[in-house]
Amino acid sequence: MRIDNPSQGVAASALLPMQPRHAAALRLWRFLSGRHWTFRTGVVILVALVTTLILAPWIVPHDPAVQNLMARLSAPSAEHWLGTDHLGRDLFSRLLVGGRFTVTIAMVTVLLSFTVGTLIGVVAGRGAGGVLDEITMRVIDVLISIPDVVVAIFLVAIFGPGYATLIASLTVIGWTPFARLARGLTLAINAQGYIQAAEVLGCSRSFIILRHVIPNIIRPIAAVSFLRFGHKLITVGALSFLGLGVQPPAADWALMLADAQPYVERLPILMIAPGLAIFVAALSVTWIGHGLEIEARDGDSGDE
Amino acid sequence: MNSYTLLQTVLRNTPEPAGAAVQPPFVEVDELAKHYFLSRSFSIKSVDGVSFAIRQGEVLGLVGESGCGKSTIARLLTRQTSPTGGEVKIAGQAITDVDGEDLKRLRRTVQLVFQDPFGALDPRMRIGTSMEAPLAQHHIGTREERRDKVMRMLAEVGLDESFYERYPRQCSGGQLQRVVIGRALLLEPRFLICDEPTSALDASMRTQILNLLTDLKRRHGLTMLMISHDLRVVRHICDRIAVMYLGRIVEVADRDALFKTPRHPYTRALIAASMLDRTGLYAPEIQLRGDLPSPLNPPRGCRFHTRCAHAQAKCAQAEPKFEAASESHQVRCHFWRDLQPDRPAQAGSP
Amino acid sequence: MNKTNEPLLVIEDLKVAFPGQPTPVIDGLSLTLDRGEVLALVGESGSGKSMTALSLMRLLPAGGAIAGGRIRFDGEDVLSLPDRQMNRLRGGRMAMLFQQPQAMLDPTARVGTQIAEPLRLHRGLVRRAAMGRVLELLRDVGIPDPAVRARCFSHELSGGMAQRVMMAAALSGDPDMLIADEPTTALDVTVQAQILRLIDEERRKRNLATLLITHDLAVVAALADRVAVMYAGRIVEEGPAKAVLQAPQHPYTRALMRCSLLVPDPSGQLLSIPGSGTHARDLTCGCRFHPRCSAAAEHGLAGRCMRSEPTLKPDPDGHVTRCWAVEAEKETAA
Repeated sequence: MRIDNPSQGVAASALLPMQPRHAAALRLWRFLSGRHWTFRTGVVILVALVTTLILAPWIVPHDPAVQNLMARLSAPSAEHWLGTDHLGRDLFSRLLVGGRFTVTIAMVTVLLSFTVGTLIGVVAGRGAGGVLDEITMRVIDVLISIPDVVVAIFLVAIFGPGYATLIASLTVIGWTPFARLARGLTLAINAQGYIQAAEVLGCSRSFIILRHVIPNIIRPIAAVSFLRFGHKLITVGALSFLGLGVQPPAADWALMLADAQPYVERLPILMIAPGLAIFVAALSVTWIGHGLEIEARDGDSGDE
Repeated sequence: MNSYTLLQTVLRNTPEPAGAAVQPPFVEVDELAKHYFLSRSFSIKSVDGVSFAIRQGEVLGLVGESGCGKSTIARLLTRQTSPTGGEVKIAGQAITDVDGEDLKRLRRTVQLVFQDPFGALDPRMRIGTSMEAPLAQHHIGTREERRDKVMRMLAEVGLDESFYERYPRQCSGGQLQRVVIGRALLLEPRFLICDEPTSALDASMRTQILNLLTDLKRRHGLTMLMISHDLRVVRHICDRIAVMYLGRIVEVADRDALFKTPRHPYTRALIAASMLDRTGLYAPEIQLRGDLPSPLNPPRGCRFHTRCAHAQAKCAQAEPKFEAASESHQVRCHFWRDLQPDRPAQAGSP
Repeated sequence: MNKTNEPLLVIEDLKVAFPGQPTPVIDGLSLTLDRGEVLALVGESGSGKSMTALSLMRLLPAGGAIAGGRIRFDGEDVLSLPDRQMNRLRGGRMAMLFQQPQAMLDPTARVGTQIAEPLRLHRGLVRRAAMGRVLELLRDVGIPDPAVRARCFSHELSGGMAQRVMMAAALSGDPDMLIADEPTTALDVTVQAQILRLIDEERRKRNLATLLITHDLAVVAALADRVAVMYAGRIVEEGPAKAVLQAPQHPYTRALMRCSLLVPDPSGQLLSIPGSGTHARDLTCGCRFHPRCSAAAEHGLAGRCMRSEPTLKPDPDGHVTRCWAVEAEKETAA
């Protein structure tokens, strides 16, 4: 008997022991430094933004709900950094607090849509051509043709406005793009040798989905979910604008935009500030998504 | 008399080694067919009435061009797809309609080595995990025992322990093919199907893998089906060889008989083509005209007549029967008696 | 036209490196190729043979760079040509065949249109004239019913047919040199012979200089005039095909021969080369083949092979080998 030893001549570099664990900060730095610049910028902005929003109630210079009709529509000053609105409320404080609602709703919705959509899409894709797949696809066809604002109006009419209603109405429609993408990617993966091998080896359906399919398609889907986040942020804004989201006097970026409308000529900052806030939040997340997408496209270049 | 009964007769007449007297073949394939229906009247007859048998411990080679249906046979025998006709028995059990737990048990009896080792392993899974997972899925052993088994199997296929932690992209094609073979053998199958196990590999890797398969076959007492388009590859390892053309087997013989006295013109062309050299390039035997005809619309009569150098009028009209040229040698050709075995095996015979 | 007697293609001391790799993928490669000649470049995957082809076309994958050496094609320095001229050279006088012909064809365009495109762009032919030329080319490469096939999409072609189409596309620019990178590896054996015959016929007809890249010595035997064997970025043996195939000198070439023939030894084992060549490039000293070499030990030269790398030593008949053992043998004989 003779078994050749093919591992001869293998470079020592391939056999290095696993890296020891580094301090958290160092690891974060390593995590960021190898990435695309849009990803890094996005992460920095988003971390700053979320920290600010979380700490907002404790760091605001003024109570965002307190009106001061004597100081209506005052220009930026040392007292009111960004000036005051038409009811004399401090604009800067309202800006800090006003993102909490919108950003939370958008995040939760995207996360839910992503999870639900991916699972449904993968299961449908694994049984492609079957009854389940057919039903799923037709349901998606129907849902995709309904604007989410309409669903929101409908659900708010039944259950009244609130966190749960908004999240539910946005998720009902929101999962469909994820499901379509996940299904498409699964179809491509189905033809891969390792999926066929797993079947021949007798691996169960759930094992194949959880251990083979999902890990191999999750990156592009995650990238899309980040891209969808900006879109969701604007939708939530639009719903608040229509009076379906946050109820006054609570502060909210989209509501602030709406309120500022009559006074935009006298004090443009009333509109610019919340508009810019929405823009920056959306952009940071979109950039993270863009960075991830580039990596997903270029193949694995990092974290294993 | 259909080809299966003929085959049975032949098998019965073939002298068996002492002690194995009336043992039925380990794998019996009877009139197996797989038609892919494109519409009600149109179908691709990928496999069209194929019968063969493999005895316990025997290695059968299945040779033919791509598109002849040989990979479909691998998919049928491993139940990745269901046949549209015929029957397959492995170890006495009909496999064509088992499912659930029975199918899972069948997976342990029949295993497959894939053509493309790079594709057959999940790029995001460490090799150790890839090899262990099927064991866990079949509830074999504890976690430690499984790890142990994998380590021993890695050694058996000639890889060191470091491979356990590696990702597929850190390995060469030859090393990955060893992993794939090891993973299949971990389930302790009795029947191993190899679908072009070396065609994605370099010449030097090819011989390593063929040697490994020969070793493993001997040590584990495997019954094997070796599928390849290259007669050189199956020559070394197989006991018998079946040649397939457009969904049908056209010749079956013991290895040496097939190389020494190939009966079917197609077999001769394959032999000539696989023994290329400068004069061989222009040799008349490999002047196969054109490509394999479409299996959507196979030629009438003998399926090979459109490319055959010896075709006559009769060939276009009637399909030849599977005839026994000798006890263990069958051929599907009208004129096999007239064809002189004028091109015996080439230089480099064992 | 080139007035000196220089061969059509001259590669001198070519080095190709990728960042992050300790040694170059191609390390000091020198080759010549003349009109009407078939030079086979043989080696395992990772030996650098495909990289050589891509450097000739200046189409190295991202990150790869030519770190040294010269490539002259018909007297012109390929490496310093402006991109525009290089483009013209690539589609015209240098043509290439690939391992996966189907992958090289655009699945959304008809085959005929794809071959016609460069004819219209580079030669200024009008649509009808270009189409006529395409049909002519398709007939030349042995495609039955060219008019029908020209209207096919790539997925409607078999592997052999697609390789013929690629050949037609390659010939459309009236090339002087054909680079065939594993042109038959993905094909069935019966079709392999057809394609090799096609290459052979065309090079005779057109006096094509042909660089044939393959790992299969059977293909070499069928087609090549000269053979260069590459191992880990270096040429280890080069010479007339007959001499190299009948009396291979370098232990690697000999082993490769035995592997290709699939001939078992008396004990029933196929002869093989232990290990794989993929990582041999990481060796920093000595002969790159020594970890897998049997001759090193047999000749009691293991120390020498490990310490220093041999150079290419010529035979009187133009057969060169890079091996200490072969050198030692010759010295004893002399």
